[in-house]
Amino acid sequence: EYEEKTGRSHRPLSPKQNVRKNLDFEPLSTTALILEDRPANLPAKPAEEAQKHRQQYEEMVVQAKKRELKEAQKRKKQLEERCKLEDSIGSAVLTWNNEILPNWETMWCSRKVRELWWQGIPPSVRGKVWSLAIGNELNITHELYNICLARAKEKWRSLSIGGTEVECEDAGFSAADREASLELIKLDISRTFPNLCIFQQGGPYHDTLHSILGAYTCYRPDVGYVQGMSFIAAVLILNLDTADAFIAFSNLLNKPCQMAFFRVDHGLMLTYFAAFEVFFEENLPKLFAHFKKNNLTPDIYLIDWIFTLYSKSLPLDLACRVWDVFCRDGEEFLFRTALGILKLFEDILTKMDFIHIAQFLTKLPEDLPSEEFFVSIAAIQMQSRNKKWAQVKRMLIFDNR
Amino acid sequence: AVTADGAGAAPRGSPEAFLDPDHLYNVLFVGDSHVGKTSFLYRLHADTFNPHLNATVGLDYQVKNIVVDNKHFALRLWDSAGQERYHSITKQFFRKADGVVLMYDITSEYSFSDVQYWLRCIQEGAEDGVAILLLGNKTDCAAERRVPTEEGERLAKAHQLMFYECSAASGHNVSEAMVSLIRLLKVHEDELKNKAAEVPKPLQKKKGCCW
Repeated sequence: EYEEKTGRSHRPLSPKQNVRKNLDFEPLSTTALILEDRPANLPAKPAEEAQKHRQQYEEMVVQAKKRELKEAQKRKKQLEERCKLEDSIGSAVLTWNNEILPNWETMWCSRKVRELWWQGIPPSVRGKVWSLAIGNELNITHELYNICLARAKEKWRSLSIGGTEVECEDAGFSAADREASLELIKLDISRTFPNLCIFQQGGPYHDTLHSILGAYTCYRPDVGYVQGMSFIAAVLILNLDTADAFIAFSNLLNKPCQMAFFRVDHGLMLTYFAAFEVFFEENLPKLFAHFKKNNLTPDIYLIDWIFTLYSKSLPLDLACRVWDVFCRDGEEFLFRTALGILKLFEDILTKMDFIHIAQFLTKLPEDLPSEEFFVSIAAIQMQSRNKKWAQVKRMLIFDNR
Repeated sequence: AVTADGAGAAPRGSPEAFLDPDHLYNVLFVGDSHVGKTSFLYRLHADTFNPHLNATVGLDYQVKNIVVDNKHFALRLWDSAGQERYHSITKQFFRKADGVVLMYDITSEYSFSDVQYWLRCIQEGAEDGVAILLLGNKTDCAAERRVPTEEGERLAKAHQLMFYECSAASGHNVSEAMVSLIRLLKVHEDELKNKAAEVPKPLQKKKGCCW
């Protein structure tokens, strides 16, 4: 519409108004100049040429109109789809707020809720649902968060003064592990979703991210800060208030899978990879064989995916949908998602060699189609010879002993 | 004459076409967090500076094809997370490396003193005779320099390392350093081949298996 308006205002005054009239089209900018008579100081246009120009011009206009019509239809369809989506989100929000959240304990594992859950939690209730689903086994209160934060701030102050004494008294970890100290957090915050420009110095969530990570190192000095955590905390901050984000963060990291990875418990990590391979072979035998042939072990791609819970490698909206179901189904969904990705790209991956697979999987395409992606995950069977994920994992842990 | 072609420039998902390189090397990037390993690789691949790079978690991978001295080289570049905690994960990859780029930040004394730590890791993890390039990054930040060039040179000499200073931000010395490393890798490969030719039984090449 804007273009049309500006086109109109630029319309040159023409003596041949009748030409325009039967065109029934408002020309954009100067394209219609060709229809003008030549300036008086030049020889006049032969009638034949003028006719030709008229014809060409009309053809152009018809094409342009067609294109515009097509685009308008496309826009209309997109709008309709968006309205439909917004309607369904709107009604989902109502269902979550009025029916499910007030009756969480009895309803959350019902079939209806599970199905709604799979569709993706509406952003406005996402944080609440995540909090409830992750739970608070650790019984962390807002007060405890404030205490941990105060301790972290004390450390930052003493660090900036240059004293290391405070660090040394702290369980004896920090002095040796300089990197676990708060320095690295500072560096990493600016490298957490830098494209969003909200966690960087001066950004609205910079201090929040800093506070949560700092408070966590005081809450769990034995785990400390590990690269990858900043991405998890950032996603939580986008959906929850600070103290609640901290509570969810600490409880999330306390889950067995996350603990194994963030403490870099090599033996346990290997068990997870082995369990993953059992289901990999079961679901995608051809690709599994291809990976084996190329010596492509799961650690190559799973480390990044599990450590950041896909927030780094998937587009953020898709990552949040993975988190939705991860909160519902637990760790096994992380590995199911991995298999879903492999399944989605199976054809491409079977044509690649080691390094290209590694490169591809650590930098997934940015335009990953979300519906196909979830269809692909849904097609993965987390059952191997009648054994479920937890059983397979338990057996492997037992074997290792 | 050096021409470079970033494989990653090819559309994602298509196995890129650098058929039959004359030589293929695995190069591992190590060094403290935030010294600029990923930025260096990004510069090498796209020839621009990207200030919006996520922190590396675990490992990243890149392919780089490059023509040096009229020969086609394919580099498999392994970019590792700098945090010490990750070392138990990344150490298995030292064994596979033909070359290691050990990077520090010339504006950070810490990162320079940690070079000793990383050298020990290389000694323990990598094969003997692995080619090592000591690389001081961020020469564009001259005003904040804390590690004089001579100190880098001295350290490199003491440990017989190849040495460069560079800037991933400005592009200074980035391809020069890589080309020198490639030539060194080629010399090492030739030496290994000659040795293998002397011994009746062919020398066993590194195994590709992990864990």
